[in-house]
Amino acid sequence: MIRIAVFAALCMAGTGFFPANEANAQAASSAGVPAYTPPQRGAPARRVGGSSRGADDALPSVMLLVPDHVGLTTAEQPALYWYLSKPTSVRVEVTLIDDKGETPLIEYAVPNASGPAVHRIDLAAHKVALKPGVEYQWSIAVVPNPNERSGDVMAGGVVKRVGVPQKIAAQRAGASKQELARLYAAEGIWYDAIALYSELIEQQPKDRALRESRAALLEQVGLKDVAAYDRKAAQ
Amino acid sequence: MSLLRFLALALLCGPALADSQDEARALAEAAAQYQALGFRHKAIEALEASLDKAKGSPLEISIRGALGQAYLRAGDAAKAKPLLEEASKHPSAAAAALNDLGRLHALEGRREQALALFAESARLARESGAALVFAAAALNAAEPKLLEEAVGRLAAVPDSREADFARVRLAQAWRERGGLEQSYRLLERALRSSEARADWLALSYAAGHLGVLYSQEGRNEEALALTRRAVFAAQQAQADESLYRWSWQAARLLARTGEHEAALAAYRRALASLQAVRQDLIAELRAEGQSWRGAVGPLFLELADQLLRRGPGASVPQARLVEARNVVEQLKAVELEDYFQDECVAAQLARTQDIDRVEPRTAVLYPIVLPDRLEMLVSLPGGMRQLTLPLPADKLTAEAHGFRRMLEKRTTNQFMPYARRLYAALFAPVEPLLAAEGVETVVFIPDGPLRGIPVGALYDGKGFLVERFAFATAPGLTLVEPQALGARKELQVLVTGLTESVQNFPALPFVRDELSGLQTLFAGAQFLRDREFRVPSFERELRGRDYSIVHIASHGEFDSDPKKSFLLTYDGRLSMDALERVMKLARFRDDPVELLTLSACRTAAGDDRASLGLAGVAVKAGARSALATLWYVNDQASSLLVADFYRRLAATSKAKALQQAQREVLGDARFRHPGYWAPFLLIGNWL
Repeated sequence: MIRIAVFAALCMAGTGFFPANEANAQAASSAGVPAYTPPQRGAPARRVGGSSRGADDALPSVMLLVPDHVGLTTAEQPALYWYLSKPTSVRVEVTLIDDKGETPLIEYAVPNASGPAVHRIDLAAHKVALKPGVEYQWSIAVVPNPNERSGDVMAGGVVKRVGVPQKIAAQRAGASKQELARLYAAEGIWYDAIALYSELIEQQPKDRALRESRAALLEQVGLKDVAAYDRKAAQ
Repeated sequence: MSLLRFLALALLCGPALADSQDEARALAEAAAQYQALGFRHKAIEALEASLDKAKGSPLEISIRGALGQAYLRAGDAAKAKPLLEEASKHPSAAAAALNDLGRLHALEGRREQALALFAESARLARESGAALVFAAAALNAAEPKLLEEAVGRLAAVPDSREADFARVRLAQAWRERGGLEQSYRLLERALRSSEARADWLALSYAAGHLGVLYSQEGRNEEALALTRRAVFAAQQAQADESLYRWSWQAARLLARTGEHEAALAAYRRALASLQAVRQDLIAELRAEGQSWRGAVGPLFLELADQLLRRGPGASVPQARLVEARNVVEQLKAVELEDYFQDECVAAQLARTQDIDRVEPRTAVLYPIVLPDRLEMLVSLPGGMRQLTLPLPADKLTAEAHGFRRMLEKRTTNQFMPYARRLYAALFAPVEPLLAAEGVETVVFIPDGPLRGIPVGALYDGKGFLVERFAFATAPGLTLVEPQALGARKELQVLVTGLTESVQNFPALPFVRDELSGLQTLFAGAQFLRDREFRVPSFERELRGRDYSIVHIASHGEFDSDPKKSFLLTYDGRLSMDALERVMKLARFRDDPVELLTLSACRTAAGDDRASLGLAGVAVKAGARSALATLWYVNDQASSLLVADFYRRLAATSKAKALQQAQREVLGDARFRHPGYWAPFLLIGNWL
């Protein structure tokens, strides 16, 4: 009962009735579901697209597993995750640029992308390492016409590398992956939290608790559709 | 007095010409004269009259064939076809009619059929010894053996105007194939024949084309002498079409040999003659599948080039700057006319403005794209200045097209190097002039590849130009009436939009936001949403009320073929002609529509003709200005920008309202990429 009540409270937190804060984080931790604390109150919106409203019925919708603001990571080569709502033979392009963006650091096409599925971008495989403090923009574009890029169905987000917060450095040793993930979320390090849960989910795709954890985080940043996908996948 | 009326009078007053067949023959003669002089519509009139007289007589069928040919040459395939098909059934007229039918099929893309008809025509002509028809069929088939045979046949034909015309055309075909000897011989024969017959018109073409031959060989003096002869002959024949061609050729030869003042005079003469036959020439070019810009555009630009050239340190007098601009204006006006296939656009030209009285804090930038450089004419409140920029046309085109492609790609900033380079090349040199006059609004009259790029997205190293200037664009200077909009009374607004997916086009969900934004701003606005937005209801609204603003938030596509340009309605499409028809219902009122907004249109990158269509839409639809998009991004940013634009409209000029809306959107970190805010153009009346 308590779990449901707390869960309900968190759902409402996700839709913006109550801003996520320390109290919620503690309550959530005690109930087992992670809570994400945004690094900065009132940060400007940085997430583009990703809403299924923008999509054509024929084309899939794309959503990045990112918060609405600049997401943080402590890793030099974080894993980046994105969701495609249905399979497509249309070109799907993955791009990562730095703050200048005149030559992409990563740009490749995913042939015959599958869906509904969560996909991963492996920076190490592309020999890209993030410099601290720089805002990198990454995006997934479904490109129906390569000669007319204005027609792309695109989702974009931002990642910035920061130093490992004190709390985490202190509690890191000996913590389980799940505990670590929860810690990262509470400290506002979005990408590392999601990456840990996603790694675990890849190994145990039917684990309800793991799926629920990731879904909770996604919901907290307004990604209801992907959260629903996660919950369904565990059934 | 026109030739036709003279003949008619002669017929009435002449004694023994009561025979209607003779009248028919005389009228057909007159038609041939008109045709030779390039007056295709007059030729048609004469032949229609002739057909009337020839009814029931043996002449009828050949007149029918001639009329079919005349319609074909005037670009009216629909009327030509039945006439030609009928004539092709009668042995006396079959050969000629089959030849013309072949051309009709060729124009409509049916090459196989066309070739078969030409072959058949040639065969019949050979049998009946009709050498001229044979030559025509041979030329159309472009078959080497037939062309060989044609030379022989034409040599044997008695001299006449038709024979000489055929020889000249055949000579051209040979020249194009590198058969210079044959070409030369044919033209010499035509020259001698027309001299002997004192036929000025044929002489002009024979001499002119001989001039082309010599010019090709680099023998400029001889070429010039022959061309001058051609010009003189054309003047004697009072043949403007011939005159413009050979004056142009003379001008080029003179320019080549460095005689610039003489070249200038020849160019001016060429242009004047061209304007006299403009309508007919447009139709003929279209009938041959050519564009005005491609075939005749260079004449205007070469003249502008001559007017604008100057030595280092020298400056060109104001009068010449104005003349150069007027010449390019004429080109633009005809281009628009050609694009929309609408002569009414030219009528708008009559409303010329005193363009040198520019508003304070406003500058008009008039780039002229020449093969080896860009001439930028800048009009300021203080007068007009000339800037010669070392940017050849092909380089400019490559940069502009590349810029445009990358602007649409929101995933990277690959547009940036282009944005910087184009700023440095096009705009940086103009900055000091703008700063000196405190310019806030820049009106850009683009040409060619510059039509497809938004100048506001050029980057000066610190920011985009739109952050410092408000921009407006226009297809031409004389097509814009830079007047302030009197007292802004209660604005009547009509808003139409499609949010749903219809006719296999994707849904436009953000249009919903756009429309609600408008609803909040304009309380009394009339809305036609989704299924309500059909042509009949649209028409009914425009007829019923005096709208100042018409907003269409629906898929719009502008193509290089104007027939393929359209706006999507719920159950159909609004073509450009239909749009004009519907919008001009508002013309019966005192004020035309002030603003036509097309918030979801696209033009293909690199398609400069499509951009011409977009720029001309305000003129076509009879609106004093238009807000339209070069490309459309199906995202929240578009609807935010549009709503913001309208919100600011009450307080400032349209150009500034757009600038502020664009700055607002670009200030949102999500939408800083110009792919989101740059496609919007304010076209026409910028106040």
